[in-house]
Amino acid sequence: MEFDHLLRKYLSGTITDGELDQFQSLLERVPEYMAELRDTLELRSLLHDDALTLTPPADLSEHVRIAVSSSFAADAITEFEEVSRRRRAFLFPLRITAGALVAVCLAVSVALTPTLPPGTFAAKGSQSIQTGRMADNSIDAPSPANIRGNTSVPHVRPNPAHAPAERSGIPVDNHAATAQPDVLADAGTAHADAVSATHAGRTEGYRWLVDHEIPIRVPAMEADGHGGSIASNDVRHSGNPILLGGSGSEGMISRDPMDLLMRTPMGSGYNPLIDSATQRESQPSIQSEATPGEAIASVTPNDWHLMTIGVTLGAGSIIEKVSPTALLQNSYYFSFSLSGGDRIGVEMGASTFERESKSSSPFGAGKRNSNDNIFLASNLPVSGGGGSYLGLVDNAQGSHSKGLGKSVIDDTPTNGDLPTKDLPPVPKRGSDMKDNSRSYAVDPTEPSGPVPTPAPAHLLEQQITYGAVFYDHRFKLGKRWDVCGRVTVGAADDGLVSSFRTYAAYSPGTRNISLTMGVGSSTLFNLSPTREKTVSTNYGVYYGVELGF
Amino acid sequence: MSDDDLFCLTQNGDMEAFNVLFKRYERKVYMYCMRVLLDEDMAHDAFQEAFMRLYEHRMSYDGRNFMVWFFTIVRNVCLNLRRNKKVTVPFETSRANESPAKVTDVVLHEHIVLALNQLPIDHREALVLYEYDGYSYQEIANITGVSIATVKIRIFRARKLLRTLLHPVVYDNGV
Repeated sequence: MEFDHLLRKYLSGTITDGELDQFQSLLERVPEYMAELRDTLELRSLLHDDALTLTPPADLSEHVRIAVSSSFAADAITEFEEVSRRRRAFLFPLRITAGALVAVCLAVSVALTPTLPPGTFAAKGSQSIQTGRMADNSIDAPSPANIRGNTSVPHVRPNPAHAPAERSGIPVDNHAATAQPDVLADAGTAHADAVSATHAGRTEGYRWLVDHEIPIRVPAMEADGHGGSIASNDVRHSGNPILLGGSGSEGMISRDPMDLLMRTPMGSGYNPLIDSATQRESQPSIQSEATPGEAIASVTPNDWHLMTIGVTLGAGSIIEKVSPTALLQNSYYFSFSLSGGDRIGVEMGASTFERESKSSSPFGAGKRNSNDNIFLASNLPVSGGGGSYLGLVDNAQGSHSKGLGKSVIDDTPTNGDLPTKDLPPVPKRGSDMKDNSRSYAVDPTEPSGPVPTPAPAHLLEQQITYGAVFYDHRFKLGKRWDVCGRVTVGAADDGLVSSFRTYAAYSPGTRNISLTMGVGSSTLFNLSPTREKTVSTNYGVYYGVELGF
Repeated sequence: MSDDDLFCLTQNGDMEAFNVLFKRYERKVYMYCMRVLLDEDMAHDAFQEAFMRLYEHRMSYDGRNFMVWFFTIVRNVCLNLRRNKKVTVPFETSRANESPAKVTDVVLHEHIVLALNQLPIDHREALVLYEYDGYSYQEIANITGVSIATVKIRIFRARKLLRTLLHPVVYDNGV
């Protein structure tokens, strides 16, 4: 039995030096052992020769190979579609949630619209006053308080011309009204009442014209109560509108300094820019009177647009340890103002994130043709409003740039493309293969030595479309500059996406158009079970345009 | 790249990986089928069936030791075929029916086939796996589901019996 043991070890190539000496001594001492060894080696030689003749017929081999490989390929495609379907199904609740958030956001925005910044409508008048433009039918007759120089003047009810003067309990001097038919024709009965009151020296007569509900900023004016010439010291003008009274024969409310000049009797010496009380030149606009803070405050609530639409383009990089990757991001958004600088809105777009794949694509790590990529791109789920994948992606393999494609699939060198000299040798099958007499065991049809080296785990980048809601707050730096911060949360193809962005907005000519530029970062939390990496982040610089309404 | 990695790639649809894997195994499987079944038609059927089973049972692969897993499939296919169509060719009868020319041309290989046919199936199977496919005792034990010691004994006995059966033929033909 010892000989059998040593013979087995000798044939398998695992015999040690000591055992080999022992085996040789046995062979020398016992001739039967030598004959048995010879027969065994001859048998193995026969089996070796026999094995060399056993080669599968080429047609059978090809038939089986094609049949099985096509089954695997078809199955892989089906499996890929199944994975895509599962992923879509998995993300469906997320998309529903995102849609619901958008709907709620819109509903809240619409609901809050009537309560948008207090004085929104009054502000129109205020702004008009500042620019000297006023609605024709509005009567901006100053109240007594206003006449005394208060800067906060009750807003005038639009055209209460036909309201009876008696409702304020103030007698109306019809005589004065009849004495000035042009005024009556122009401004109606209320004007006539007001002017009459002026002529009568009863400044209280203006009170009934005043709506006390909404304060606006109106230039102060003082009258002497006699309705005399405006050029006299009786009227101290400090802005518009001007209570214009003729020399007892005409009187009306003018809102235009030029009109005032035109109506002022020549030679009266009236200069609307000269404060008659102080004899110093005053500014016609209240803007010059307001402090800088007041000036900003005066425009803050009025310059926020009720609705804003915008588009941004981003360029940056994906945070990845292996290599930086170019990023292009596009997004479109629509927002409502809540109050002041607060906005909420919805945003849709496409962004690039990095993902890591465990194995090759379903179309193989090896040779892929353009059709494969087309197929894969066309099968990638697309959602969100962005839709347009602005992909300019490169990866660690540094092998591709797909441009405007829906997806980026790396083109790893194919097995057939690999140079054989760089390939590793065939792995050893086991220690038993160190057989002294079985060198024939090497399969002659096997790739002789070099075996194609498949690509390592691929690093793929993918465009992710997303829909999100955002909160945006603006800080006004001046008439044309705003600084904004935005936080966005939403759903993407592969999970949840969140982003933070801070940017500056500049309104070059009109505040309806803003140019934006800023920096930001987006993070994708992969929830898809087919992905390995759970978090991927990108960052970049963003440029955009906003239109406000 | 290991067989396991190649098969993982194959499962993901990588046809190049499958081609490499197929090239590695087609001849081993074919030799096993031919020398265990000892019938060319059955061996061809088994060869085709084995690779189709590879696809059908792909989900049962646990990612470890593809060779053992695949040859277990091959073995089961061969045993099933052999069970369904039992083929026994008596050694003496086959020798008597052979033409002298054939004996002259392929005498050794035919004698080997006939001698193998005289071996018990488990001994023949172990011998084929060891001598033809080049697997180790441990691998054969894993494939056949027996201990290494049993594999060693089976191979030893099969070799001894084969030597006995082929000895006169070999020396008669001057090998």
